[in-house]
Amino acid sequence: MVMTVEQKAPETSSQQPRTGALTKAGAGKRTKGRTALFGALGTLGFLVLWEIVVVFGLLPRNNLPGASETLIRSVGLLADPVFLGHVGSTVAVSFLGLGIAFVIAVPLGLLLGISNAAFALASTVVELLRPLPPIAFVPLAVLIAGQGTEMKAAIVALGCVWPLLTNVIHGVHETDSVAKSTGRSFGWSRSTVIRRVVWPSAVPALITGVRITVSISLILCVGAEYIGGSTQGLGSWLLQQSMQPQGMQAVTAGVVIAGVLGVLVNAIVAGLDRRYAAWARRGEK
Amino acid sequence: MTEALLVVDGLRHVYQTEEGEHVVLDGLSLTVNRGEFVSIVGPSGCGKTTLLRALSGLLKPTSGTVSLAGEAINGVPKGLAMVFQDYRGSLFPWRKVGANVEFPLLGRVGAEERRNRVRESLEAVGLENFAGRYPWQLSGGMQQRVAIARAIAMRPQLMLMDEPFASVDAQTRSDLEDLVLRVRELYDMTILFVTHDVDESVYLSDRVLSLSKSPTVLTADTAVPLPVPRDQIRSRENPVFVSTRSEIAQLIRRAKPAGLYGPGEAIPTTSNFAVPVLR
Repeated sequence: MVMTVEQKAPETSSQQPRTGALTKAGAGKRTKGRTALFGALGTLGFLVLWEIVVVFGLLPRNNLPGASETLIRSVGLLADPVFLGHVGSTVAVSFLGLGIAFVIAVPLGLLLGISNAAFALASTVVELLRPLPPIAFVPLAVLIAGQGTEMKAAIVALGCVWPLLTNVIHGVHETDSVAKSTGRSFGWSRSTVIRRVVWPSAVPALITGVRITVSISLILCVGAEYIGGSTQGLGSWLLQQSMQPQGMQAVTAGVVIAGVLGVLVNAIVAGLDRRYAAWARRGEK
Repeated sequence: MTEALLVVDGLRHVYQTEEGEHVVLDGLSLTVNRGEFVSIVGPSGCGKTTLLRALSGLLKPTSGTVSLAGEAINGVPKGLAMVFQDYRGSLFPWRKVGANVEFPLLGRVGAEERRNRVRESLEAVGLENFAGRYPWQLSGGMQQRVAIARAIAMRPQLMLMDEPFASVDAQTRSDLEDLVLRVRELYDMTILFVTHDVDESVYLSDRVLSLSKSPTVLTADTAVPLPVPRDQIRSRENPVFVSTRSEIAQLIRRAKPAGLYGPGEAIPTTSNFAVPVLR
Protein backbone atom coordinates (compact mmCIF):
# COMPACT_ATOMS: atom_id res chain seq x y z
CA MET A 1 0.00 0.00 0.00
CA VAL A 2 1.55 3.25 -1.07
CA MET A 3 0.45 6.19 0.97
CA THR A 4 0.57 9.52 -0.78
CA VAL A 5 2.49 11.97 1.29
CA GLU A 6 1.74 15.61 0.73
CA GLN A 7 5.26 16.84 0.03
CA LYS A 8 4.56 20.03 -1.85
CA ALA A 9 2.65 22.74 -0.12
CA PRO A 10 0.04 24.52 -2.17
CA GLU A 11 0.79 28.09 -3.13
CA THR A 12 1.48 29.96 0.06
CA SER A 13 2.08 33.57 -0.85
CA SER A 14 1.13 35.02 2.49
CA GLN A 15 2.74 38.42 2.81
CA GLN A 16 2.31 38.37 6.56
CA PRO A 17 3.63 35.07 7.82
CA ARG A 18 3.34 36.16 11.44
CA THR A 19 -0.41 36.64 11.38
CA GLY A 20 -0.85 33.59 9.19
CA ALA A 21 1.02 31.35 11.61
CA LEU A 22 -0.94 32.63 14.60
CA THR A 23 -4.32 32.06 12.98
CA LYS A 24 -3.30 28.56 12.02
CA ALA A 25 -2.08 27.69 15.52
CA GLY A 26 -5.29 29.01 17.08
CA ALA A 27 -7.47 27.10 14.65
CA GLY A 28 -5.39 23.97 15.32
CA LYS A 29 -6.06 24.17 19.06
CA ARG A 30 -9.80 24.58 18.59
CA THR A 31 -9.95 21.67 16.13
CA LYS A 32 -8.02 19.53 18.57
CA GLY A 33 -10.49 20.20 21.39
CA ARG A 34 -13.42 19.39 19.12
CA THR A 35 -11.79 16.19 17.90
CA ALA A 36 -11.22 15.01 21.48
CA LEU A 37 -14.82 15.84 22.50
CA PHE A 38 -16.36 14.16 19.47
CA GLY A 39 -14.10 11.14 19.91
CA ALA A 40 -15.27 10.74 23.52
CA LEU A 41 -18.92 11.13 22.47
CA GLY A 42 -18.52 8.55 19.70
CA THR A 43 -16.94 6.03 22.07
CA LEU A 44 -19.68 6.55 24.63
CA GLY A 45 -22.34 6.10 21.94
CA PHE A 46 -20.73 2.86 20.82
CA LEU A 47 -20.66 1.50 24.39
CA VAL A 48 -24.34 2.39 24.90
CA LEU A 49 -25.25 0.67 21.63
CA TRP A 50 -23.29 -2.41 22.69
CA GLU A 51 -25.06 -2.51 26.05
CA ILE A 52 -28.48 -2.18 24.37
CA VAL A 53 -27.71 -5.03 21.94
CA VAL A 54 -26.78 -7.30 24.85
CA VAL A 55 -29.51 -6.26 27.33
CA PHE A 56 -32.31 -6.67 24.77
CA GLY A 57 -30.79 -9.86 23.31
CA LEU A 58 -30.64 -8.51 19.74
CA LEU A 59 -28.04 -11.07 18.60
CA PRO A 60 -29.22 -14.55 17.45
CA ARG A 61 -27.40 -16.33 20.26
CA ASN A 62 -26.67 -14.05 23.11
CA ASN A 63 -23.15 -15.03 24.10
CA LEU A 64 -21.74 -11.50 23.95
CA PRO A 65 -20.97 -10.06 27.38
CA GLY A 66 -22.30 -6.56 27.97
CA ALA A 67 -20.21 -3.40 27.72
CA SER A 68 -20.38 -2.60 31.41
CA GLU A 69 -19.29 -6.03 32.66
CA THR A 70 -16.57 -6.14 29.98
CA LEU A 71 -15.18 -2.79 31.09
CA ILE A 72 -15.20 -3.83 34.73
CA ARG A 73 -13.42 -7.04 33.81
CA SER A 74 -10.87 -5.05 31.73
CA VAL A 75 -9.99 -2.92 34.72
CA GLY A 76 -9.58 -6.10 36.74
CA LEU A 77 -7.28 -7.55 34.07
CA LEU A 78 -5.01 -4.52 34.28
CA ALA A 79 -4.05 -5.72 37.76
CA ASP A 80 -3.58 -9.36 36.69
CA PRO A 81 0.16 -10.12 36.39
CA VAL A 82 -0.39 -13.21 34.24
CA PHE A 83 -2.42 -11.25 31.72
CA LEU A 84 0.05 -8.36 31.74
CA GLY A 85 2.89 -10.80 31.13
CA HIS A 86 1.15 -12.05 28.00
CA VAL A 87 0.49 -8.50 26.79
CA GLY A 88 4.12 -7.59 27.42
CA SER A 89 5.25 -10.58 25.40
CA THR A 90 3.05 -9.61 22.45
CA VAL A 91 4.26 -6.01 22.49
CA ALA A 92 7.91 -7.10 22.72
CA VAL A 93 7.63 -9.62 19.87
CA SER A 94 5.68 -7.16 17.69
CA PHE A 95 8.41 -4.59 18.12
CA LEU A 96 11.11 -7.14 17.44
CA GLY A 97 9.39 -8.13 14.19
CA LEU A 98 8.83 -4.51 13.25
CA GLY A 99 12.48 -3.77 14.01
CA ILE A 100 13.61 -6.59 11.72
CA ALA A 101 11.33 -5.28 8.96
CA PHE A 102 12.70 -1.76 9.49
CA VAL A 103 16.33 -2.87 9.26
CA ILE A 104 15.58 -4.68 5.99
CA ALA A 105 13.19 -2.16 4.43
CA VAL A 106 15.07 1.11 4.99
CA PRO A 107 18.36 0.30 3.23
CA LEU A 108 16.58 -1.74 0.57
CA GLY A 109 14.01 1.02 0.01
CA LEU A 110 16.77 3.62 -0.35
CA LEU A 111 18.57 1.41 -2.87
CA LEU A 112 15.43 0.66 -4.89
CA GLY A 113 14.35 4.31 -4.74
CA ILE A 114 17.69 5.64 -5.92
CA SER A 115 18.68 3.06 -8.52
CA ASN A 116 16.25 2.68 -11.40
CA ALA A 117 17.98 -0.53 -12.48
CA ALA A 118 17.57 -2.11 -9.04
CA PHE A 119 13.95 -0.95 -8.98
CA ALA A 120 13.25 -2.54 -12.37
CA LEU A 121 14.89 -5.78 -11.26
CA ALA A 122 13.02 -6.01 -7.97
CA SER A 123 9.62 -4.45 -8.59
CA THR A 124 7.96 -7.52 -10.14
CA VAL A 125 9.15 -9.77 -7.34
CA VAL A 126 7.97 -7.24 -4.75
CA GLU A 127 4.57 -6.93 -6.42
CA LEU A 128 4.22 -10.71 -6.41
CA LEU A 129 5.19 -11.16 -2.76
CA ARG A 130 3.41 -8.14 -1.33
CA PRO A 131 -0.23 -9.29 -1.51
CA LEU A 132 0.43 -12.68 0.09
CA PRO A 133 -1.24 -12.85 3.54
CA PRO A 134 1.53 -13.30 6.13
CA ILE A 135 -0.75 -15.41 8.34
CA ALA A 136 -0.82 -18.03 5.56
CA PHE A 137 2.88 -18.59 6.24
CA VAL A 138 2.35 -19.50 9.89
CA PRO A 139 2.31 -23.29 9.37
CA LEU A 140 5.50 -23.08 7.32
CA ALA A 141 7.08 -20.74 9.84
CA VAL A 142 6.19 -23.15 12.68
CA LEU A 143 7.97 -25.96 10.84
CA ILE A 144 11.04 -23.84 10.27
CA ALA A 145 11.24 -21.77 13.44
CA GLY A 146 9.05 -23.52 16.03
CA GLN A 147 6.20 -21.96 18.00
CA GLY A 148 8.13 -19.31 19.92
CA THR A 149 9.45 -15.82 19.46
CA GLU A 150 11.38 -16.55 16.27
CA MET A 151 8.28 -17.74 14.41
CA LYS A 152 6.12 -14.85 15.57
CA ALA A 153 8.75 -12.20 14.87
CA ALA A 154 9.28 -13.65 11.40
CA ILE A 155 5.56 -13.45 10.59
CA VAL A 156 5.38 -9.87 11.87
CA ALA A 157 8.47 -8.90 9.88
CA LEU A 158 7.07 -10.52 6.75
CA GLY A 159 3.89 -8.49 6.99
CA CYS A 160 5.55 -5.20 7.93
CA VAL A 161 8.42 -5.17 5.47
CA TRP A 162 6.27 -4.35 2.40
CA PRO A 163 4.43 -1.25 3.63
CA LEU A 164 7.72 0.08 4.99
CA LEU A 165 9.57 -0.70 1.78
CA THR A 166 7.01 0.87 -0.55
CA ASN A 167 6.81 3.98 1.63
CA VAL A 168 10.58 4.44 1.67
CA ILE A 169 10.75 4.01 -2.11
CA HIS A 170 7.90 6.46 -2.53
CA GLY A 171 9.61 8.95 -0.21
CA VAL A 172 12.84 8.73 -2.19
CA HIS A 173 10.98 9.19 -5.48
CA GLU A 174 9.20 12.24 -4.06
CA THR A 175 12.49 14.05 -3.42
CA ASP A 176 12.31 17.41 -5.16
CA SER A 177 14.56 17.44 -8.23
CA VAL A 178 15.46 21.10 -7.66
CA ALA A 179 16.51 20.17 -4.10
CA LYS A 180 18.84 17.54 -5.54
CA SER A 181 20.23 19.99 -8.12
CA THR A 182 20.75 22.51 -5.33
CA GLY A 183 22.72 19.95 -3.33
CA ARG A 184 24.83 19.15 -6.36
CA SER A 185 25.38 22.87 -7.05
CA PHE A 186 26.97 23.05 -3.57
CA GLY A 187 29.60 20.71 -5.01
CA TRP A 188 28.32 17.74 -3.00
CA SER A 189 29.06 14.21 -4.14
CA ARG A 190 26.28 11.78 -5.00
CA SER A 191 26.52 10.10 -1.60
CA THR A 192 26.41 13.45 0.22
CA VAL A 193 23.31 14.44 -1.74
CA ILE A 194 21.70 11.13 -0.74
CA ARG A 195 22.62 11.63 2.91
CA ARG A 196 21.72 15.30 3.18
CA VAL A 197 18.85 15.68 0.69
CA VAL A 198 17.28 12.37 -0.33
CA TRP A 199 17.22 10.74 3.10
CA PRO A 200 15.61 13.68 4.95
CA SER A 201 13.07 13.98 2.11
CA ALA A 202 12.11 10.33 2.57
CA VAL A 203 11.75 10.44 6.38
CA PRO A 204 8.09 11.61 6.46
CA ALA A 205 7.04 8.77 4.15
CA LEU A 206 9.03 6.36 6.33
CA ILE A 207 7.18 7.59 9.43
CA THR A 208 3.89 7.10 7.60
CA GLY A 209 5.04 3.54 6.93
CA VAL A 210 5.87 3.02 10.61
CA ARG A 211 2.46 4.39 11.55
CA ILE A 212 0.74 1.84 9.35
CA THR A 213 2.94 -1.05 10.42
CA VAL A 214 2.74 -0.65 14.21
CA SER A 215 -0.93 -1.66 14.05
CA ILE A 216 -0.18 -4.38 11.51
CA SER A 217 2.57 -5.76 13.75
CA LEU A 218 0.23 -6.15 16.74
CA ILE A 219 -2.49 -7.76 14.60
CA LEU A 220 -0.05 -10.20 13.01
CA CYS A 221 1.58 -11.09 16.32
CA VAL A 222 -1.76 -11.94 17.94
CA GLY A 223 -2.76 -13.89 14.85
CA ALA A 224 0.48 -15.86 14.82
CA GLU A 225 0.03 -16.65 18.54
CA TYR A 226 -3.50 -17.89 17.90
CA ILE A 227 -2.75 -20.05 14.90
CA GLY A 228 0.81 -21.05 15.69
CA GLY A 229 -0.10 -22.59 19.04
CA SER A 230 2.18 -20.34 20.96
CA THR A 231 2.25 -20.56 24.76
CA GLN A 232 3.04 -16.88 25.29
CA GLY A 233 1.29 -13.69 24.27
CA LEU A 234 -2.13 -12.09 24.10
CA GLY A 235 -3.30 -14.40 21.30
CA SER A 236 -2.59 -17.58 23.22
CA TRP A 237 -4.14 -16.09 26.38
CA LEU A 238 -7.32 -15.26 24.43
CA LEU A 239 -7.41 -18.78 23.01
CA GLN A 240 -7.08 -20.34 26.48
CA GLN A 241 -9.77 -18.07 27.94
CA SER A 242 -12.21 -18.79 25.13
CA MET A 243 -12.17 -22.47 26.00
CA GLN A 244 -13.11 -21.90 29.64
CA PRO A 245 -16.63 -21.58 31.04
CA GLN A 246 -17.67 -17.89 31.08
CA GLY A 247 -14.48 -17.24 29.14
CA MET A 248 -16.09 -14.88 26.62
CA GLN A 249 -16.12 -12.11 29.19
CA ALA A 250 -12.35 -12.40 29.53
CA VAL A 251 -11.94 -12.52 25.75
CA THR A 252 -13.91 -9.31 25.10
CA ALA A 253 -12.13 -7.62 28.01
CA GLY A 254 -8.78 -8.67 26.54
CA VAL A 255 -9.78 -7.38 23.10
CA VAL A 256 -10.78 -4.02 24.58
CA ILE A 257 -7.37 -3.74 26.22
CA ALA A 258 -5.66 -4.70 22.97
CA GLY A 259 -7.62 -1.91 21.28
CA VAL A 260 -6.53 0.64 23.87
CA LEU A 261 -2.96 -0.57 23.44
CA GLY A 262 -3.23 0.08 19.71
CA VAL A 263 -4.48 3.61 20.33
CA LEU A 264 -1.57 4.30 22.72
CA VAL A 265 1.06 3.02 20.31
CA ASN A 266 -0.46 5.04 17.51
CA ALA A 267 -0.33 8.18 19.65
CA ILE A 268 3.39 7.63 20.24
CA VAL A 269 4.07 7.34 16.51
CA ALA A 270 1.90 10.41 15.84
CA GLY A 271 4.19 12.25 18.25
CA LEU A 272 7.22 11.09 16.25
CA ASP A 273 5.50 12.37 13.13
CA ARG A 274 4.93 15.80 14.64
CA ARG A 275 8.55 15.95 15.75
CA TYR A 276 10.25 14.76 12.54
CA ALA A 277 7.79 15.26 9.69
CA ALA A 278 5.95 18.48 10.54
CA TRP A 279 7.55 20.18 7.54
CA ALA A 280 6.04 17.66 5.14
CA ARG A 281 2.53 18.02 6.57
CA ARG A 282 2.55 21.81 6.35
CA GLY A 283 0.03 21.82 3.52
CA GLU A 284 -2.43 19.61 5.37
CA LYS A 285 -5.16 20.96 7.56
CA MET B 1 41.89 46.40 -15.70
CA THR B 2 39.47 43.74 -16.78
CA GLU B 3 40.15 40.17 -15.88
CA ALA B 4 38.13 37.37 -17.43
CA LEU B 5 36.49 35.26 -14.73
CA LEU B 6 34.23 32.99 -16.73
CA VAL B 7 35.28 31.96 -20.22
CA VAL B 8 32.98 29.82 -22.36
CA ASP B 9 34.46 28.61 -25.62
CA GLY B 10 32.57 26.81 -28.40
CA LEU B 11 29.96 25.31 -26.09
CA ARG B 12 27.82 22.77 -27.92
CA HIS B 13 25.22 20.44 -26.53
CA VAL B 14 23.23 17.80 -28.34
CA TYR B 15 20.36 15.80 -26.85
CA GLN B 16 19.65 12.37 -28.27
CA THR B 17 15.93 12.06 -28.90
CA GLU B 18 13.78 9.45 -30.62
CA GLU B 19 13.70 11.56 -33.79
CA GLY B 20 17.47 11.83 -33.81
CA GLU B 21 19.87 14.48 -32.60
CA HIS B 22 18.54 17.73 -31.21
CA VAL B 23 21.14 20.49 -31.09
CA VAL B 24 20.39 22.83 -28.19
CA LEU B 25 23.58 24.85 -27.96
CA ASP B 26 25.58 25.32 -31.13
CA GLY B 27 29.00 26.74 -30.41
CA LEU B 28 28.40 29.42 -27.79
CA SER B 29 31.33 31.54 -26.70
CA LEU B 30 31.17 34.25 -24.09
CA THR B 31 33.23 35.91 -21.38
CA VAL B 32 32.26 37.41 -18.05
CA ASN B 33 34.83 39.69 -16.46
CA ARG B 34 35.46 39.88 -12.73
CA GLY B 35 33.05 42.31 -11.08
CA GLU B 36 30.68 42.43 -14.02
CA PHE B 37 26.92 42.00 -14.01
CA VAL B 38 25.99 40.19 -17.21
CA SER B 39 22.50 39.12 -18.23
CA ILE B 40 21.51 36.48 -20.73
CA VAL B 41 18.19 36.94 -22.52
CA GLY B 42 16.59 35.01 -25.30
CA PRO B 43 13.29 33.82 -26.75
CA SER B 44 11.53 31.07 -24.84
CA GLY B 45 12.94 27.62 -25.38
CA CYS B 46 16.34 28.96 -26.40
CA GLY B 47 18.35 26.65 -24.22
CA LYS B 48 19.04 29.13 -21.40
CA THR B 49 18.53 26.43 -18.82
CA THR B 50 20.81 24.00 -20.64
CA LEU B 51 23.46 26.72 -20.84
CA LEU B 52 23.23 27.46 -17.14
CA ARG B 53 23.36 23.79 -16.20
CA ALA B 54 26.47 23.40 -18.32
CA LEU B 55 28.07 26.48 -16.72
CA SER B 56 27.32 25.23 -13.22
CA GLY B 57 28.76 21.80 -13.97
CA LEU B 58 25.41 20.03 -13.47
CA LEU B 59 25.45 18.95 -17.11
CA LYS B 60 28.36 17.80 -19.21
CA PRO B 61 28.24 19.53 -22.60
CA THR B 62 28.82 17.53 -25.78
CA SER B 63 31.80 19.70 -26.68
CA GLY B 64 33.39 23.03 -25.87
CA THR B 65 35.00 24.27 -22.69
CA VAL B 66 33.98 26.36 -19.71
CA SER B 67 36.61 27.76 -17.40
CA LEU B 68 36.30 29.69 -14.18
CA ALA B 69 39.24 31.84 -13.06
CA GLY B 70 41.48 30.05 -15.57
CA GLU B 71 40.52 26.54 -14.48
CA ALA B 72 38.56 24.28 -16.78
CA ILE B 73 35.22 23.25 -15.31
CA ASN B 74 34.74 19.53 -15.07
CA GLY B 75 31.97 18.80 -12.62
CA VAL B 76 30.67 21.40 -10.21
CA PRO B 77 33.38 24.04 -9.71
CA LYS B 78 34.35 25.64 -6.43
CA GLY B 79 33.61 29.33 -6.18
CA LEU B 80 30.25 29.17 -7.87
CA ALA B 81 26.85 29.67 -6.28
CA MET B 82 23.55 29.12 -7.98
CA VAL B 83 20.19 30.76 -7.29
CA PHE B 84 17.29 28.83 -8.81
CA GLN B 85 13.94 30.11 -10.01
CA ASP B 86 12.12 27.55 -7.88
CA TYR B 87 13.01 28.78 -4.39
CA ARG B 88 10.46 26.42 -2.88
CA GLY B 89 12.31 23.40 -4.21
CA SER B 90 15.71 24.92 -3.64
CA LEU B 91 15.30 25.62 0.08
CA PHE B 92 15.23 22.52 2.24
CA PRO B 93 11.91 22.52 4.11
CA TRP B 94 13.15 20.44 7.04
CA ARG B 95 15.84 22.99 7.88
CA LYS B 96 15.17 26.40 9.35
CA VAL B 97 16.24 29.53 7.50
CA GLY B 98 19.58 29.83 9.33
CA ALA B 99 20.29 26.14 8.84
CA ASN B 100 19.51 26.45 5.14
CA VAL B 101 22.03 29.26 4.75
CA GLU B 102 24.58 27.25 6.71
CA PHE B 103 23.98 24.01 4.78
CA PRO B 104 26.54 24.37 1.94
CA LEU B 105 29.21 25.38 4.47
CA LEU B 106 28.95 22.19 6.55
CA GLY B 107 32.21 20.30 6.69
CA ARG B 108 34.04 23.07 4.83
CA VAL B 109 34.05 26.03 7.18
CA GLY B 110 34.55 26.06 10.96
CA ALA B 111 31.55 26.39 13.26
CA GLU B 112 32.27 29.95 14.38
CA GLU B 113 32.92 31.18 10.85
CA ARG B 114 29.68 29.48 9.79
CA ARG B 115 27.73 31.33 12.48
CA ASN B 116 29.26 34.64 11.43
CA ARG B 117 28.56 34.10 7.76
CA VAL B 118 24.96 33.07 8.39
CA ARG B 119 24.31 36.17 10.48
CA GLU B 120 26.06 38.47 8.04
CA SER B 121 24.37 37.01 4.94
CA LEU B 122 20.92 37.17 6.49
CA GLU B 123 21.62 40.78 7.50
CA ALA B 124 22.60 41.57 3.93
CA VAL B 125 19.15 40.47 2.71
CA GLY B 126 17.31 41.96 5.71
CA LEU B 127 16.22 38.65 7.23
CA GLU B 128 18.36 38.57 10.38
CA ASN B 129 15.23 38.09 12.52
CA PHE B 130 14.00 35.09 10.59
CA ALA B 131 16.83 32.58 11.11
CA GLY B 132 14.63 30.47 13.39
CA ARG B 133 11.69 30.24 11.01
CA TYR B 134 11.09 27.53 8.48
CA PRO B 135 11.36 28.76 4.87
CA TRP B 136 7.79 27.70 4.12
CA GLN B 137 6.57 30.04 6.84
CA LEU B 138 7.85 32.98 4.76
CA SER B 139 6.44 34.69 1.68
CA GLY B 140 7.83 33.86 -1.78
CA GLY B 141 9.97 36.99 -1.98
CA MET B 142 11.44 36.32 1.47
CA GLN B 143 12.21 32.74 0.49
CA GLN B 144 14.15 33.91 -2.54
CA ARG B 145 16.06 36.31 -0.27
CA VAL B 146 17.02 33.31 1.87
CA ALA B 147 18.32 31.57 -1.27
CA ILE B 148 20.33 34.70 -2.12
CA ALA B 149 21.70 34.85 1.44
CA ARG B 150 22.78 31.24 1.10
CA ALA B 151 24.60 32.04 -2.14
CA ILE B 152 26.31 35.01 -0.44
CA ALA B 153 27.38 32.83 2.49
CA MET B 154 29.24 30.57 0.05
CA ARG B 155 31.48 33.55 -0.85
CA PRO B 156 31.35 32.66 -4.54
CA GLN B 157 33.55 34.13 -7.24
CA LEU B 158 30.56 33.93 -9.56
CA MET B 159 26.87 33.92 -8.74
CA LEU B 160 24.64 32.27 -11.34
CA MET B 161 20.99 33.27 -11.19
CA ASP B 162 18.44 31.31 -13.20
CA GLU B 163 15.34 33.50 -13.73
CA PRO B 164 15.35 34.09 -9.98
CA PHE B 165 12.42 36.51 -9.89
CA ALA B 166 10.12 34.85 -12.40
CA SER B 167 7.81 33.49 -9.70
CA VAL B 168 7.25 36.60 -7.58
CA ASP B 169 4.88 39.53 -7.97
CA ALA B 170 5.95 42.79 -9.63
CA GLN B 171 6.50 44.84 -6.47
CA THR B 172 8.55 42.10 -4.82
CA ARG B 173 10.44 41.76 -8.04
CA SER B 174 11.61 45.40 -8.04
CA ASP B 175 12.63 45.06 -4.39
CA LEU B 176 14.62 41.92 -5.13
CA GLU B 177 16.31 43.54 -8.15
CA ASP B 178 17.53 46.38 -5.96
CA LEU B 179 18.55 43.90 -3.30
CA VAL B 180 20.74 42.05 -5.80
CA LEU B 181 22.35 45.32 -6.92
CA ARG B 182 23.08 46.22 -3.28
CA VAL B 183 24.50 42.81 -2.51
CA ARG B 184 26.66 42.99 -5.59
CA GLU B 185 28.02 46.37 -4.49
CA LEU B 186 28.60 45.14 -0.95
CA TYR B 187 30.49 41.99 -1.87
CA ASP B 188 31.96 43.15 -5.18
CA MET B 189 30.35 40.14 -6.78
CA THR B 190 30.35 38.90 -10.34
CA ILE B 191 26.87 37.90 -11.45
CA LEU B 192 25.57 36.04 -14.49
CA PHE B 193 21.83 36.53 -14.60
CA VAL B 194 19.47 34.61 -16.85
CA THR B 195 16.07 36.17 -17.46
CA HIS B 196 13.34 36.35 -20.06
CA ASP B 197 12.52 39.92 -19.05
CA VAL B 198 14.27 42.50 -21.24
CA ASP B 199 13.56 45.43 -18.88
CA GLU B 200 15.02 43.54 -15.98
CA SER B 201 18.17 42.63 -17.90
CA VAL B 202 18.79 46.26 -18.92
CA TYR B 203 18.03 47.63 -15.46
CA LEU B 204 20.44 45.29 -13.71
CA SER B 205 23.31 44.71 -16.11
CA ASP B 206 26.54 46.13 -17.41
CA ARG B 207 26.14 43.94 -20.49
CA VAL B 208 23.31 41.94 -22.00
CA LEU B 209 23.97 38.84 -24.10
CA SER B 210 21.13 37.83 -26.40
CA LEU B 211 20.57 34.37 -27.76
CA SER B 212 18.95 32.94 -30.87
CA LYS B 213 16.35 30.19 -30.93
CA SER B 214 17.78 26.71 -30.68
CA PRO B 215 20.18 25.58 -32.06
CA THR B 216 21.34 28.45 -29.92
CA VAL B 217 24.10 30.89 -30.78
CA LEU B 218 25.00 34.29 -29.37
CA THR B 219 23.32 37.03 -31.44
CA ALA B 220 24.63 40.16 -29.75
CA ASP B 221 26.65 41.49 -26.85
CA THR B 222 25.08 44.82 -25.88
CA ALA B 223 26.70 47.18 -23.39
CA VAL B 224 24.33 49.10 -21.10
CA PRO B 225 25.85 52.58 -20.65
CA LEU B 226 23.37 53.46 -17.93
CA PRO B 227 24.75 55.42 -14.96
CA VAL B 228 25.06 53.75 -11.56
CA PRO B 229 23.58 53.53 -8.97
CA ARG B 230 20.45 52.46 -10.76
CA ASP B 231 17.06 53.66 -9.64
CA GLN B 232 13.78 51.91 -10.39
CA ILE B 233 12.10 55.12 -11.59
CA ARG B 234 14.86 57.40 -12.88
CA SER B 235 16.92 54.71 -14.62
CA ARG B 236 13.88 53.47 -16.48
CA GLU B 237 13.11 57.01 -17.71
CA ASN B 238 16.64 57.50 -18.96
CA PRO B 239 16.79 57.64 -22.81
CA VAL B 240 19.71 55.20 -22.67
CA PHE B 241 17.49 52.67 -20.90
CA VAL B 242 14.71 53.17 -23.42
CA SER B 243 16.95 52.82 -26.47
CA THR B 244 18.88 49.84 -25.06
CA ARG B 245 15.73 48.01 -24.10
CA SER B 246 14.20 48.43 -27.56
CA GLU B 247 17.45 47.34 -29.18
CA ILE B 248 17.43 44.13 -27.17
CA ALA B 249 13.70 43.59 -27.62
CA GLN B 250 14.33 43.83 -31.39
CA LEU B 251 17.08 41.23 -31.12
CA ILE B 252 14.72 38.83 -29.39
CA ARG B 253 11.94 39.43 -31.89
CA ARG B 254 14.35 38.82 -34.76
CA ALA B 255 15.76 35.66 -33.20
CA LYS B 256 15.53 32.60 -35.40
CA PRO B 257 17.15 29.19 -35.10
CA ALA B 258 20.92 29.67 -35.11
CA GLY B 259 20.77 33.39 -35.93
CA LEU B 260 18.75 36.52 -36.63
CA TYR B 261 16.28 37.52 -39.30
CA GLY B 262 17.72 40.36 -41.39
CA PRO B 263 16.41 43.94 -40.84
CA GLY B 264 14.25 43.85 -43.97
CA GLU B 265 13.24 40.21 -43.65
CA ALA B 266 9.63 39.31 -42.86
CA ILE B 267 9.38 37.67 -39.48
CA PRO B 268 6.91 34.80 -39.54
CA THR B 269 4.24 35.22 -36.91
CA THR B 270 4.09 32.21 -34.71
CA SER B 271 1.23 31.54 -32.41
CA ASN B 272 0.96 28.82 -29.86
CA PHE B 273 -2.76 29.36 -29.52
CA ALA B 274 -5.06 27.39 -31.75
CA VAL B 275 -7.67 29.61 -33.34
CA PRO B 276 -11.08 27.96 -33.08
CA VAL B 277 -12.67 27.46 -36.47
CA LEU B 278 -16.41 27.97 -36.61
CA ARG B 279 -18.25 25.54 -38.78
